[in-house]
Amino acid sequence: MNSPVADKPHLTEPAWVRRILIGIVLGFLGLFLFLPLTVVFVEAFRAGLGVWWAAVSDPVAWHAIRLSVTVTILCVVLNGLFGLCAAWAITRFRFVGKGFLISLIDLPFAVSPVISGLIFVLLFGAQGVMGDWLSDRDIQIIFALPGILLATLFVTFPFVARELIPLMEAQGTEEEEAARVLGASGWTIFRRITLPAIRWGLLYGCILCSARALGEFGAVSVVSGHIRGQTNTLPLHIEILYNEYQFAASFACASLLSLLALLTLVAKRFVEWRMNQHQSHLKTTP
Amino acid sequence: MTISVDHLTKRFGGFTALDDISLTIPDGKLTALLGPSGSGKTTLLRCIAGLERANGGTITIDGVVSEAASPAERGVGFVFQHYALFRHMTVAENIAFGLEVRPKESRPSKEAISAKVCKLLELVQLDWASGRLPHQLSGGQRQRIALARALAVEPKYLLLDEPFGALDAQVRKELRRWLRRLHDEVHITTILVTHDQEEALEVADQVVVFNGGKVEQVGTPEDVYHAPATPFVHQFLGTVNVLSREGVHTYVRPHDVSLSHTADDDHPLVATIVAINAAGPVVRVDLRYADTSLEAVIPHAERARLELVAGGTVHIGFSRSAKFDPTPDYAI
Ligand SMILES: Nc1ncnc2c1ncn2[C@@H]1O[C@H](COP(=O)(O)OP(=O)(O)OP(=O)(O)O)[C@@H](O)[C@H]1O
Ligand SMILES: [Mg+2]
Repeated sequence: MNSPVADKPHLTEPAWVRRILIGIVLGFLGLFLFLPLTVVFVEAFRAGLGVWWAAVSDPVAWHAIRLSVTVTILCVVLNGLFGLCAAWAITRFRFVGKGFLISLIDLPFAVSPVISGLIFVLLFGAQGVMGDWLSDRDIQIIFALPGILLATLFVTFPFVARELIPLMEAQGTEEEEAARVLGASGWTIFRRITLPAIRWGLLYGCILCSARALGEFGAVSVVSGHIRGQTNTLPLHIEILYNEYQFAASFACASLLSLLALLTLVAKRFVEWRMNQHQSHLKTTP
Repeated sequence: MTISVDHLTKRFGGFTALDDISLTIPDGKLTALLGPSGSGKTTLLRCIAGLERANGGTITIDGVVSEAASPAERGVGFVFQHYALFRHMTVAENIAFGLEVRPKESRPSKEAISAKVCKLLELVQLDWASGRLPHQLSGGQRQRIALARALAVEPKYLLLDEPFGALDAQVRKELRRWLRRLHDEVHITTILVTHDQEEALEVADQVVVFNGGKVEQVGTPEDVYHAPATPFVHQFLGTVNVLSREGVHTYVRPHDVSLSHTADDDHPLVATIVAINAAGPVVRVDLRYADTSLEAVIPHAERARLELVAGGTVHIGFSRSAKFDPTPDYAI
């Protein structure tokens, strides 16, 4: 992608300035992104593939992986739906308190993940607001899967909604109204008119959401209780291993998590590319 | 088979977009809603289509008060100001949409649908475009596809919101003549929204002039042009000279100003000729009478006969004029 600016030599800085700037950026990226990632993989495989495999297939690690994946899948599905509903409500209806709702969507990004976790402990913990009510009914939320899911849901809520709101705003309501006058039902309109226009944006939001859900540490750490083989997600498991000086195992699990992150990065690139194609085709249609 | 609008009021927050509108749309005719930008034309059309809920008054379609009827139940077809074609569907898919989404019992067969699509594409003269996406078509072509899509469900009423608004003058002219011919063929009761007076006067059987959410006048194109009911209609439909004397405003169209060498009953006033512009099918004469600038339009032969020259004087009279009490200025 050539920007028009880059084609005009008189608008760019002298060559040496460019080289220095690019050098600084590359050096920075190498030092802070590439080097750590390499270290993770080198450390993970330093003792050989056997040790790596042993660490990853250890029952406790395996449970952590399964828990992380379960939470991530649930989280993507639920936040996909919630995000869609929120974007729909905000872009398609007029109501009081809309501006407030829009700023509320960003709240999870603004507060520290630790506080996000604490909110749920204060609400559902044994000493929390709803603690007695829940324990009377034998419902366990904190230090169990529901708590981890809630905390992760909270932290990752904005991704899908943020992605969809501008898209749906740009799309407008005229096509949906045209479909309505032609006799289409609400569900048909959603399936055949709205969804095709936002599907790449939705997927993009879901990818961002899953990347964050998989790696979430702070909020989950507060609500999980760190029970081995029960409430430890992969990031928590890695920390515990590290604290117990099991560096090889810790790095092995870390390499797995990094691998998943790299995969989402590839998926994200692909979707971005598709969205650009989609967008440029939308732009030519008023 | 008529639409009648009764004391309709629509507010957006504190702003009144439609103010106590009453109207009847004659059956089988083409009615133009004409008014300046922001006068509430689209809002009225959307109320009739059921896309907007009125705050007061009723809309009766075929004798049924259509308060709760969904847009589809009203039997209207709507063509939007900006086409609103489904951008990810081909032209053929766009046109077929209204038939495909029908419930199973009333849905035509696949063959019947594609036959109908072909027929409509022929009607709008775009049969070659059936496989294209909307963004691969020109504005005028998109507009015709939007029309075909609306016609596919065989609506009893056709609502067109500035269908030619976004097109250049030449294409507009062609399309509106085409629309008129189409209407003469299918005779579907049509409401056409426009802010272009030429368009309204040329294609419509009935013109409704709108201003500030109110109806100013309803009548045939000739009525509204030659016998405007209000100063606004006078000013909005074509050029007009305004003379104010003794608290009364007199409105005269340029072609109703007649010129003469001699003073007589038909030419009681004396005016100075400021300028003469003969470049065009008619001659435009700029006059000055008392403190008022006037414009007269006369045939070339008349100018030659009168031997008019700039700077000279001439006797003038008005073959047709309208008098109104002074009213606040209208913004056009
Ligand atoms: N959804 C809305 N919310 C608030 N105000 C609105 C809304 N829709 C229309 N209006 C207002 O109502 C008035 C009439 O709007 P409308 O769209 O009917 O005008 P119009 O006659 O169609 O104008 P144009 O020729 O520019 O399309 C305008 O002043 C507009 O600002
Ligand atoms: Mg309008």
